[in-house]
Amino acid sequence: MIEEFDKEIDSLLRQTARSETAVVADTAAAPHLDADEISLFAENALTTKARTRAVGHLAECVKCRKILSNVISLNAAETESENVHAIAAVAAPKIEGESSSVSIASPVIPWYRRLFAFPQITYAMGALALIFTGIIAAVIVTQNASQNEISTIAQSSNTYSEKSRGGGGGGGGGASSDGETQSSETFLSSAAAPNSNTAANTSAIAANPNAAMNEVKSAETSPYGASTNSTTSAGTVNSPAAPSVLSTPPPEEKRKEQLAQEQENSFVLDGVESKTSPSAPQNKPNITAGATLPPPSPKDNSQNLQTADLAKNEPREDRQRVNRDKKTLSETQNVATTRRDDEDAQQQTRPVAKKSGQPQGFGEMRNVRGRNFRRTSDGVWIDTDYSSQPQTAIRRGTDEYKRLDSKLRSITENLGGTVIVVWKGRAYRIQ
Amino acid sequence: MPALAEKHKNLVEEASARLLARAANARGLAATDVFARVSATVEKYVLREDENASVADIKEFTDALNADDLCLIIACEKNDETAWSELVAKYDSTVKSAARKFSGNTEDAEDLASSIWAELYGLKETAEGARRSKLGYYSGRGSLAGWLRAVVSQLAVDEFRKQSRFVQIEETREFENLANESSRENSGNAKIVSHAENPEEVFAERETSRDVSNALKEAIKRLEAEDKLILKLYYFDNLKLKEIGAALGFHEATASRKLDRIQANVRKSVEKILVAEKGWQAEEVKRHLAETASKLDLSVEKLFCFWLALLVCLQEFFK
Repeated sequence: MIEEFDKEIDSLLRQTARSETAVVADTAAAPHLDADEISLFAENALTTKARTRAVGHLAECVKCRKILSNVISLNAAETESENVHAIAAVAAPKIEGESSSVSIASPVIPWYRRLFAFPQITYAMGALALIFTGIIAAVIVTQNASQNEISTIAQSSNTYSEKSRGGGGGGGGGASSDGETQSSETFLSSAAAPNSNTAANTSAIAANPNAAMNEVKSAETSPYGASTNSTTSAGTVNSPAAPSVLSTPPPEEKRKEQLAQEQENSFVLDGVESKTSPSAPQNKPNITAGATLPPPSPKDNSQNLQTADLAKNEPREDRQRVNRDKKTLSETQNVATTRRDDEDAQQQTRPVAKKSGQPQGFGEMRNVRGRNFRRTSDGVWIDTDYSSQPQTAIRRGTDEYKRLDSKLRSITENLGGTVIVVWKGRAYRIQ
Repeated sequence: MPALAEKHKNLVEEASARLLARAANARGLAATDVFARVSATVEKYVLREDENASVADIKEFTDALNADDLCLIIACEKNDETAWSELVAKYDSTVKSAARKFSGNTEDAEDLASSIWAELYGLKETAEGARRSKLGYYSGRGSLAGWLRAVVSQLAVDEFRKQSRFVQIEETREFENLANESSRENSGNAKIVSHAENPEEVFAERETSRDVSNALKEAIKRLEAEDKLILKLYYFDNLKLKEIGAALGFHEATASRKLDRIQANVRKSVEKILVAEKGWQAEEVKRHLAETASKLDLSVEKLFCFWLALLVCLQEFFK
């Protein structure tokens, strides 16, 4: 049986060693070893029986052991310096016209030795750690910035719809819708900032409003399926593969509802031009007087239906609301294209690559201790290596759970909830 | 042991002659000059352990003696000035570098080195007028440089012990003074306030730690001699496994495996002692050992290892 390094006993022994008194006390009754015996022991030059006797004494005598450890350290240091000098002697060129002996130049210390010869190695290590931390943080921020574009599409739509209803209450309504959108976008951007890049993405929405609205809506209705839906062509409405968390009416019905709502609040813009936001693209069409309002986007409909708080914002002028609707309609022209491009970029940079043949609807992916897990719609973490083999159900806190491998337990505790993990050829269902 | 010396006298005489023949510079020494030293060495390292050592063993032992170093030392003992000059010139750097390890500054190192040379030269004289020199303790079996390092270490440890006793006495007095002052402060109307939030928990934790500490010490005592030495050299003297292996005659990897085995034995002993003698439950033992391991002090080495591990994980992350 091969023993492994025992960290717990190592810790206890180190603590015991630290608490050892500094005074070198004599504990052995036998006569001490003299310098010759200790030097022979350090050089492994004692006879077998003399060595056995010396070991017995050294194991008990602190003083002799201290001397021995000092001698061993000195011998090691001397050997090291001799090696360096030997290397220097071999590398030094012969000087012509002088004695035949090889001139020894100053010892050439290899670069890796010079590095560790740095006396302030502690500070150097600390500085290296800080540099690496900065690099890692910069890379993570850069990745998040690219992933946030998709997540902010829905957020910007929510923002516009909330503003059209009267911005004061937009926070409340928007928060919930943002939360829903965020939950659906979780697997897209693991660290997506809620309100980042809103202005930057305004231009991205102008491409295809319908497709954008459809995709965003499908993202809301299917928290784990938006990524797959976003890859479809613009303008199509994709029913989510995963069961909808939110019970929302189909797009056509929403459009009808929106139209009905608009009819209730029917108005005609008279000489009012829509004011585009500074960040909006200049090619957005202005709303001219007498223009008939286009059918509102399904996204707006869904927002109206889902958030009752939005009704509080009705006192805001309808003209502003129409302007916002127009703006949203025009700005979402390019959503499908942008989202497709962003999804492609995300898939390239996603830390855990999806396996081919994965069914639609699988969501958040995590990597714990080198193992990949995906989260189902009901919140169960499933090991990607799991392939319908028989499961052994174990509950946390039981003796059976405690008997499991510590690494397996750490994985399940890291993920939380119900976890199906394949460990050493067996599938466990930890709950 | 005159009987043993007589028995092996011829062997030792022949060994002395071969030694002189082997030396690059015999320094004018005769076989009789070397005989006493070789004889003492054989008695100390061969015959003391095995009175019936074979001729081959004795011959093998004597043929492994360092002829040049032994001749140099014997010549120095005979007051050969040339030999002394050569000894100092060749080994002064060795003595000084060893002295620097035990000294805080260059001046102290120089003083220590000077003390070493004085001890080696022998400033004191015997009743017959001969110098008492430590050179007589060199057997010739190992290298002279290694022996000199051992002499320096021995002298340094002796000095440290003297100073430590002195310092300990001073510290004890200071502690007593502090205790007296404290008692004066707490006399009269002074109240002693307990800062422990839960005295029972503090007491229980102290008792637990003491049981574990005692069990650990007992477990170390029960180890075999070589295992105990390896463990103490590694943990108490902070030697590397490579150095321990070189001193004990095995490879670094073997030293690592031995250490793992020793740790396993210590764990078993600790658990057995705590359960059988202290009345602990098995679960209590495992839980406490795990808790103790979580209270590791951070060191630069551990921090560095942590950052290396982090870099490896990030490398996997960005693949």
